[in-house]
Amino acid sequence: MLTKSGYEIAENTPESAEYLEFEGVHLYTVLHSALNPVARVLLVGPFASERNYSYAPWVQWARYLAKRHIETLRFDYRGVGESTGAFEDMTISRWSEDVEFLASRLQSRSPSVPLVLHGLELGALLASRAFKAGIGRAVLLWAPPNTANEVLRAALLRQVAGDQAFKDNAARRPLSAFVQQLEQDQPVEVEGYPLTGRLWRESFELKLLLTADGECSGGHGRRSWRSVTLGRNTRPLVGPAGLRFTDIINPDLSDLFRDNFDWLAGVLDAK
Amino acid sequence: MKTTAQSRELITIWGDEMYLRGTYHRCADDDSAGDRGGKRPIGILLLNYGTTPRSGPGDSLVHWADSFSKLGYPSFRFDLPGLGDSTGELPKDVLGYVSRVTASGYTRTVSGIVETITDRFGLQGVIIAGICAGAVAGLFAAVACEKVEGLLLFTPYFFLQNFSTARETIHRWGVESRVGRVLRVVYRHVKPLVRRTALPPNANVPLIRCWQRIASRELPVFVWNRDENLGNFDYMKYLRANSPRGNIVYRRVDFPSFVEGIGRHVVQQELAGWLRDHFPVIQETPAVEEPVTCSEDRRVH
Repeated sequence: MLTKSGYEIAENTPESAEYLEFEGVHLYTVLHSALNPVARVLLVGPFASERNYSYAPWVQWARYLAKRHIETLRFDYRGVGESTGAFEDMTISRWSEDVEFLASRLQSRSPSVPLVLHGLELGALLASRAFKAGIGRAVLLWAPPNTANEVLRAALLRQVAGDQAFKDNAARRPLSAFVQQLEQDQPVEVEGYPLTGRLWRESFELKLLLTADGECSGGHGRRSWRSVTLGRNTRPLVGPAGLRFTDIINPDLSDLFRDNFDWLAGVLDAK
Repeated sequence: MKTTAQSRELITIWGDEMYLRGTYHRCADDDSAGDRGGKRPIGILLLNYGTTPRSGPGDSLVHWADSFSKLGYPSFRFDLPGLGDSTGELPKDVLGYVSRVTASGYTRTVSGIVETITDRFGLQGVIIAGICAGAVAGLFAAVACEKVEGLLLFTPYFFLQNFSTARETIHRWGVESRVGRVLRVVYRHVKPLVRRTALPPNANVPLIRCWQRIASRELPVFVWNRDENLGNFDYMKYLRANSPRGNIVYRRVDFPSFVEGIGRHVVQQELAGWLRDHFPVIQETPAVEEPVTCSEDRRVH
């Protein structure tokens, strides 16, 4: 129904958002379809509090790939963003399961089309874990930390800094106090998300399993991986943004996109 | 393709060559256009908080939309052009985005969303809820679109961010630097002596006129504000003195953040009371069996 302003509900859209039911929750996914796809990429996003900053360039990357015949699926982890579930019930293992479930689902759309995993920050660790388990022809890692704990610690530090700026003296606490609270299994609210002691403990165990670019043999021939360090010029893909007027929210990432697309194209051609 | 998850439904609006992506939070008794005792429901449209996606920082907007829908108000969260999952052009930096908002650059889009959801979901009208830039966008749209029945405004600003006077620069330094914060405390005590009554040169006059028109229409408005958002001029005081009294509830924020900790809880409680007073729901709606318990307040105290 077309309204007076010319706006209407769209029934068919080139980017299909849908909920996928898994383990009693609904995972929010957006599929960026491509004509005659030469590959499919599962985008494994960053930690909850980073998601807000990196969302726009992450979506742009998905659109960039889809225009170049690479079908792309992005999603929100359980308990985060548009997905259902309670954040405080989440663990690294559950988010790992989300990755494996969606990778399998994407691969099943046409098994002959190669599947690539692409992780950002925490997502890079989860993607590398799935790749090590035999999922995907290739994996691309952007800004992978050494452990998931680095990600949580960075979020805690931002919380400490925010508290210093906006809270009364009595409400300001050092990082060590937050860590102690988590170690005592008491949740800590970080940027609106309740970090739990369980998530904190588990975060030490999720480590980067692929340390440099390389190749190995797998069930379907050569399997490749690439790790990319992202500089400050790629903000807000990594690091907070949107807090000051001068913060970039829509950076020109064409060089980064081109370079990584070329790598993907090379890997897929070399099969 | 499954676009519903119990109490939620994904919707997309097409307009002005853009796809605008949103999430609809249904009420328990909602059949898309539920007629409640002959009265159509009032919906709530939550706009992006700054440049974050429609879930908001800490998924606060998801939490509020869930809580409003449980009270009987179908709620909608939409990504404005270029933000979140919506297509459309996104300015390069925050200032570009804010400048577009303060120049009424999203009025047509917000009005289009309001009209579309009102028609599609059989609503009587819509209350727009917005934080910072979202509040400014909502205020402009309320004047442009007659289907807007109320406003929930969190820290709206009535000055042009890209028009920085020397006083504004000093004020920003006062907020952002440690020494400045100390001097600000001192300044607070002498401020009443130097407070101006005329609008500063960087006032957003069209927005102030919007406010005055809204007040004349007696549109129910709930506005939260904090010192930092007043700039060096007390716009709320000015607006109270220079607008019809209207149907406006003013609140000064006395907690650090709307979206986390006690702030999230306070907002939810205060707004529930205001909604019941101004937009009573005919039938009390039992809570939907909800898969989501994200960010419940039990963890906050």
